[in-house]
Parts: sequence; C-alpha cells; structure tokens
Amino acid sequence: MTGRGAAWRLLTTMLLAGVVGPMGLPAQSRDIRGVVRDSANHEALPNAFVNLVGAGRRTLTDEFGRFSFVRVGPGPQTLRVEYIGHRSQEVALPDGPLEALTILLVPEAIEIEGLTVQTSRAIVEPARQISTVGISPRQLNALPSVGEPDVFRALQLMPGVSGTNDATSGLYIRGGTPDENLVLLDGMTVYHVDHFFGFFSAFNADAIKDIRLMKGGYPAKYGGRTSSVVEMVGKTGSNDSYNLSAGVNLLSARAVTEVPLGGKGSWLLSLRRSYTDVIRTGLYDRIFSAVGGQEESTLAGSGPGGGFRGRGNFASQTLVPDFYFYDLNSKLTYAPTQEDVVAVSLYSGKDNLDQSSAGQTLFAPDGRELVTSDRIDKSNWGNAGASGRWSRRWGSRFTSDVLAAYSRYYSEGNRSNAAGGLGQGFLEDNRVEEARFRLDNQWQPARGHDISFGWETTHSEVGYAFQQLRGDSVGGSLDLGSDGLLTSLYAEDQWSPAGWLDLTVGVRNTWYDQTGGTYLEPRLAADLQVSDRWFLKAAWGRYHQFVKRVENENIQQGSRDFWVLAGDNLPLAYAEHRIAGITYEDDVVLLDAEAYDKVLDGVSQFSTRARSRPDQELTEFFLSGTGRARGIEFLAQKKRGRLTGWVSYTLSRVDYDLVGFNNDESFPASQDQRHELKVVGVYQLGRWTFGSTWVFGSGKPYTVPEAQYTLTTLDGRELSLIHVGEKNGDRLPAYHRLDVSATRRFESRRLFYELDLSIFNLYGRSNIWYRQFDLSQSPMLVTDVTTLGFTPSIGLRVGLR
Amino acid sequence: MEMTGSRLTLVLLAGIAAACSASDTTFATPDTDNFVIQAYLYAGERVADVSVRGVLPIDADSTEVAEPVTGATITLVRNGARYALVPTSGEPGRYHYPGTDVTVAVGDRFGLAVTVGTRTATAETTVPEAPVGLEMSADSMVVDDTFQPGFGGFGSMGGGIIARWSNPGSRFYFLVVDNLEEAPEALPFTERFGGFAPRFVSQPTAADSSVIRSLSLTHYGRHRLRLYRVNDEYADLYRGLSQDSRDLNEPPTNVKNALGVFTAFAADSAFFAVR
Repeated sequence: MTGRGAAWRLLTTMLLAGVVGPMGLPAQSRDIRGVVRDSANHEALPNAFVNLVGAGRRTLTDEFGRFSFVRVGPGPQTLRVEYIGHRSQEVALPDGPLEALTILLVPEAIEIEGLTVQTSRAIVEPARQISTVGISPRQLNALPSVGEPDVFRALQLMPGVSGTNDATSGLYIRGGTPDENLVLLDGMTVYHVDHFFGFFSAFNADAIKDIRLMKGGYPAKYGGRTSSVVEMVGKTGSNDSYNLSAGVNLLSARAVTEVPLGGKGSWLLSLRRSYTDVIRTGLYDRIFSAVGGQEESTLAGSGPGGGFRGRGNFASQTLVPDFYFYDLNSKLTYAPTQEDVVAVSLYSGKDNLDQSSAGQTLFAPDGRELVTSDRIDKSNWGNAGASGRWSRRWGSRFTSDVLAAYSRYYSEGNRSNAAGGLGQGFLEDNRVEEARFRLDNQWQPARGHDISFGWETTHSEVGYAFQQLRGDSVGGSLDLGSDGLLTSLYAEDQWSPAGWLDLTVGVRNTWYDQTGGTYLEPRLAADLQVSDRWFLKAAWGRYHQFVKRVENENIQQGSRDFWVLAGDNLPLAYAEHRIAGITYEDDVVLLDAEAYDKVLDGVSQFSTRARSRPDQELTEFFLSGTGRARGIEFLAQKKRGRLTGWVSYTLSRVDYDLVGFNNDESFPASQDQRHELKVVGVYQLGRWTFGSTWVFGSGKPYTVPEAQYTLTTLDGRELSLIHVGEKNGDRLPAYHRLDVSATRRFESRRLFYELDLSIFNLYGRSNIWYRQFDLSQSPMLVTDVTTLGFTPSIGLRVGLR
Repeated sequence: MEMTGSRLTLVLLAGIAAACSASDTTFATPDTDNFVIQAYLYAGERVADVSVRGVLPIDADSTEVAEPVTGATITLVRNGARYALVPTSGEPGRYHYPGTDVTVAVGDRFGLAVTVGTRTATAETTVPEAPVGLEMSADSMVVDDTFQPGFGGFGSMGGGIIARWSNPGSRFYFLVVDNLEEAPEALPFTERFGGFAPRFVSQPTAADSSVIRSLSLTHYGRHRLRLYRVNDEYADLYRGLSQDSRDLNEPPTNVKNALGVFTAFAADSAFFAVR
C-alpha cells in the first residue's frame, strides 16, 4: 500500500536523521531530570510544562510528575515550570553535574488567602499543544455548577466542545459524538460518563488530579476512537500527611480521605453518593422531571408514530421513582525506589432507577373506578474498572510503563406490565467488558528527540440483548454479541530540530481479529514558534474505531443506543483529521484559532428500515455511510488578574450520508450546531469568588413531520402514521443560558470550609430539548420538552487544612 | 476593570436579545404527488383488497379524510405474468382483479406497481405459510356479569379461552375475533360501561398462544377467531417508533417511492361461544 510505505519511510528517515545527527554533540553536555510536586502535599503534578529557558526546549511531566532533558549544553541554566492552578516557578541550575531535581509549585489558593493579586486563576489551559486543553479540577468551584464542580461540564465550555447539551455530560467534540471519545481514567476505559441521566458526569472532581482533552490530531500512543481523547489522572493524595474532606449539596454527599504510606506513597479513597432515594429535595424533583422522565404516567395512549385515532384520555397515576447514584475512586501509589512507581486504581460508578409500582385504584373523569396492574420498571447502568501500573525510569533517558486494566460497562432495563400489548414491556441488557495490557516506553536517545513506542492488546466482549415483551410473551428480540481482540504497535518521535520548531511523527498499526485486517494510522504534528508570542501549529492523522455505540431508532423505551463491536454486519468507523491553528500568548492574554476538517466513514445507525429482503435477520439492520465535519474555533482568554475568563466562538458543520436513507442525500447530523458562543468570567473579591458562564448555541436540527395518513388493520381499525420530511431539515430555536455563582472560603486553624452558591439558568430560558408529536390526538399534539429552568443550588465542603 | 465588566455585560445582553426568539412549530408542506397504497392479499382468495389514497396535512383533524385516488394504474406481477387491476364499483380508490385466473396461494411471490400521474411506486411480498395447530382450550365461556372491570385488570378475571398454535420460529401472528350472530345480545358490562369494552383488539404477536377473556368481547353468541400469519412488513406498521424530534423517522414500509404497505396473509379459524 503506497500510503503505508510512505509513512514508514518518512518515519525511518526522520528517526535516522534526527537520532544519529545530534549524537556527536560535545562530551561536556549533561542530562537534567527531576520531578514536579505540589508544595502543599508533595503530590506529583502530571502534565506540568517544563521549559529550559533560552534553549528552546520544553516538555511535559509524565503521570508521576517526572521530566528530563538530555544532552543539555554546558553552563548555568534556568528551568521554568508551569502547572495550571499553581504559581509558575523558575529554578536556576548551576553548571556541572546535577542530581535529580524536586521542584515544588505553590498552589494558587494559598496565595489567594494572603490576598496576593496578579496571580493566575486559570481554570483551563488551552493551546499548549495543538487541540489540547488542560483542566485543573481544584479550581472548578470558581465556576457555576448545580451542587458541585463537574469536570466534564467545565470541558463543555471550551471551543469546539458543545455546551448546549443539558441531558448529557458526554462531549460532542468537533462534530463527533460522545462514544467517539476515548475516556481514560488512570488507564481504564470509561464507556459511560453520565450520572443522573447526564446531568452530572460520572467523575468526582475531588478524586481527579489532572485532565487533558485532546480534541483531535492526538498522538500515536492513543487509538481506538475517531474523535478525541480525554485522559484523566486520579489524585494520588499526600505522601506526608493524613487528609480528609467532605462535602454535601442538595443531591449528594461526598468524602475524600488521603492516607500517607511511610513517606513513599499514599492511598486515596473517595466516595460520592446521592441521597435522592432517602430525601427528595426540590432540586432533585426539578432535575428528574427535566431530564429523567415524568413522574406522572398516563395510562392510556398509543405507541408514537403509529397511534389509534380517536382514543380518549384516561385517568393517570402518580409514580414515585426510587433513584440513586454513587461513585467510588481508590488509588494507591507507592514508590519503592527512586526510580520505580507502582499505582493501583479502582473505579466504580452506578445509577439505579426503580419506577415500579403496585396496582392502584383510580377514578376516571366520569367517576368510574379503575384498577391498574402491577408494573415493573427498573433500570441501572454504570461502569467499574481497575488498573495496575508499574513505571520505571531506567536512568534519565529511558522510561517504561506497564499497564494492566479491566473495565466494565453495563446498562440493564426491565419493564413489564400485566396489561400486555405491543410495546408494553421490554428487557434490555447491554454490556462491554474490556481487558487491556499495554507497554509504553519513552526514550530520549539524543538532544531534541523524545521517542515513544509501545504495544497494546485489548480484548473486548460486547453484548446487547433486547426483548420486546407482550404480556408474558416475547414479541421480538435482538441479540448482538461478540468479542474482539485488538493488538496495536506504535512509535512516535517528538523531534525539535531547532528551538522554534517541534515536529511529531508517529505511526500506529492495529490488527483486529473480527475483520482479520490491519489498520495503519500515521500521525503528524508541527508546532512552529514564529516569535516570542506567536505560534503556528498543524496536525494530521488517521483514526479507526472498533467498538461503537449505535443509535437504535426503533426502540421507544429504554436506552436509545447501545455498544456493539464492529464486524461483519457493522463497519468500523474511520476518521481523518486535518487541523491548523495559530496562537498568541503573553503573560496575561491568550488568543487562539484552530480550523479543522474531519472526513468520516463507517457512520452507523440501527434501523429496521435497513431491511432489504423478507425474513432478514435483525443483526443485519444497520445503516452505514460517510460524514464530514468542518469548523473553526476562536478563543480569547484573560489568564491573570482579579478578573479572568474567556470568550470562545465555534463555527461548525457536520453532515452524514447514509446509504439507503434520506433518499441517499446527505443531511445534518443531529449534533450539528452552526454557531456556539461562550463567555466565562471569574472575579476575585477578597475571600469571595464570583463566577458566571453564558452559553449560546444556534438551533440543532430535527426532522419535521410532513403528512399523515391512515391504514386499515386486519381488525378494521385505523392506524395513524406519519410521513416525515427531509431528515433533520429544520432547526430548533437557539439555546442560551446564564449561570452565576459565588464561592466563599472560610478557614479556622485546622479546618477549611467552602460554601458554593449557584444559580443555573438565571433568566429562566426555556431551552427546547426536543419536540414530541402525539398522533393519538387530533389534530396532532406537539409538545416542546424543555430543559432545566431557573435552578438555585447550594453546596458546602469541609476539610482538614 | 469596570470598563471590561460593562462591555461584558453589554455583550451578554446583546446576545440574549438576539437569541430570544419565539418558539415556533412549523411543518413541511405535503408532497401533493404522494399517495398511500394499502394492498392486502389473502391466501386462498381472489385479489380484491387494494386501495390507493392521498395523504393529509400533518395538522389535519380527525374529521378530515384523505382523498381516494381513482385514476391509478395498478399491475400485479406473479412469476413474470402481469395482471391489471380495475376500480371497484361504488368504492372510490379501491381496486380488484376481475379475472378468475389469479388466486393467492401460499408461497407465491407477488410484485405490485402503482402509477398515479407520473409517479410509479413498487412493492413486493410473499404469501406466508398458514398457521399450524390452531386449537382452543374450550368451545365456550360463561360471562360473569357481576365482574367490575378495571383498567389493565384482565389478569384478575381468571378463566377465558386459550387459543394455541405452533410457532417454533417466533413468527408474527394476528388474531381477530368476530361475533357471528345476526342480532347479537350485548354483554352486561358492554351496556354498563359503554365503549369501555371495545371490540376485541389484537396486535401482532410472536407468541404461540393468546387468552381471550370475556372483557375483550362485547356480545353473547357464536364467535369466530381468525388467526392470521402476517409478514414482517405488516408487523412493522405497529412497531412503535419514538416519534419525537430527536429521531423522527419514516415508519418502515416495503413500498418504494410512495407510502403504505403491500402484504399477504394466510389464516386459519376456530369457533367458540359466549354464554
């Protein structure tokens, strides 16, 4: 294959030219290595930016805070170290050989307590690498929230990430859908990122140390997804002292404890659980009715899309849902030697909803007494996972990481009703189990070269079963299940031929047993420093996805989508990213613009309308096709001072083209949104922090019904059906929302208290989530289902100082 | 700094003002050329149940009826032989095959072409196997007229007649129960509760049995249960599509270039009495 050969040749040439060339540098050069830690608790800081001032050399610390520069020239040097949420620090290095450095960065919060001004309160740190955003979870309480800080909601405020989805914490990035993002927590894959029907993300901000979002053009180390990567590093806790904090809001309570392990490690345990099954606050009721469903269930009615005309309304009964969610994080980190670190992480999160009801006696409008039947309606979903990691530094130039990880996603639903009838019940079970082993190596053989290479093997077992129940019978079922083995090799060189130029050349090759094919993914990135403050950047790469979440348009109850492995019936997804951008950055301001173009293939949807012949198996009912996403993003950020924040704007478009669908014409994808504007401001006033966010998004597309007609059934009834117009041919009204917050920190000698007051949707905008069309009414009843309105909330966090 | 705050406020207010627009539901205009085919073939019978009608605007109310299409050219195709259908007298929009050389048989594969103006729609179907092993658990049921019916309370009634048939392949079946009396006497709760006890209604089922309870009937007397084996294209009509704007889609149809359904049935019957 020409492209494959060219990529290998390019990589080989780059490696040889770069590695061999600088080997002949003067013998007096030295290596610099060290670790960056938080001064407050000596916790390692991952992804800290380390710059060798004047030498044009820079790097990021690894997950354990480590960095190194090889073959640094003679003479005194200065290191500048920056980490989001911490004060930058410069370290003067004397001439001569150096021991391993330990650099301590001071958290901003400590400075703020002393009312020091001109400090950075940056919550996010964009544009250090192309299409990459970093987030400081510890700073998130400066942003408005509903109860407690949410890491994914904060990411949704960045350009290129949709911020107008109240009903999911999932990230729609540059025209992609949430399942196209590789979400990693300490190396575990997380398949479902939502709590409470998506209103909260499944991650407790108290347990997360660092988040990197790579919106596209990401390195060869990562694979298996076509849109982006969200890499989260769990908090390790303090090596020096015991710590405890706890928080409560109107929905849930949480606690985190950190236990030092003899100065060589730490154990962190965090637990968050909603108490919504015990106490139902007004906030819970508002959110549940907005995103979770209706608590009042109408007994009469018909399956939408096919309804019997002329039915009247009947009495309704009130259901009391029993709902809770929890998540647990545990991370044990231990460094038996200076060169070795071992980490074991556990994660478990679950949502449980029980809307079952016993039969009730009701009175119809005409006074008749009606007896409802017992109803079972239970669903639960969540993730669980574990990872173990050993990292060893073999001197200053070579580091190896071994990771073994297991993760499991499950979604179960069970609804049945003694009344029977089509669509009266279902059983649903979707699960993904993944076992992964990977070896990553980082080698700096010569000045200006940072070579990564490794191997990854993943075994995935994916099952989806759906049974439509009619009374006691099974009236149709779908059973998709398979397992797949993926093995990948990758190599990448981050090469700095000059101080003003960084080139990253990589390749990833994956073998997939379901198709028996190998998939080559070349990756390229360039970062050109035009002047002290101006940077040009570009990236290009190819990406494949082997496990996909497919929308099931034929299911009217339960989950609307399910995970399934690509294989004979379902093509794997493919994307090619092309990105270019420009950045201006000084100490106070950052301006950034990036344009992207993504070519998509293997876009899929499950539909019985994919039937091409009688008696075709349900497993063959997939619609597939191509797509394209294009856009340009702008960001203006003020990083320092009492007032910090940013304004971002995204102009984008994403179209799908499915074979045999929509008259074979392309149509806007459901997540398409032409304009999105976000304004984020944080103002520091003494011990108070005021935050506000305003989000505006132009209307998302939806399909408008065009006509209605009836068919006479075998029993002589009139079945009402609709004929729809062009797929996603119209747009909902624009979405916008203003959130505000005030946070106050109090401190005593041993304790600190943080009080958060937030108002979601301050001016009570009725944003339309979707439109319902009820054909059982005549004329057809159109209902706008809106998202959460004006919602105040309060939260309190207490901890040891 | 104050200037910065003021400007930010202005930007916000301007954005809010620009964005606030009234929510307006609009519907696309129906394609006036579009038409709806309803073509049913019954095994062992002649071709007589084919109709063509227009569509209604989406906001039409229940009093509006779609216009019948009277000028359609309809051709039925079997094994390469073509049979022209003709309008049925006195029933606008309905068509039949006037000859005696076409009787629908199990296993036959039919094609249908309907031309209205310049638009031609096509569809195909296969006549399914007839139900096998239909039997009733009793030949009569006695109605308890003291029963107080509750919504969804069929299970509390007990009794009823069970219809069973063979269905190892979980195929779709459809049950229709008809009263055969010329002047049937209404059951007590039919009169007591008016329309609450409707005519027996069925939906396609992939089960191999069904319970017929007195509450689902309206009159005393002899009844006929007809068990139809139905094809997937008929069952698809009942498949509930989640019709909200997140994924509003065309209901499944086997008609190409128009709307409706072309399908075939094979049936068996059993009889019982209600006393």
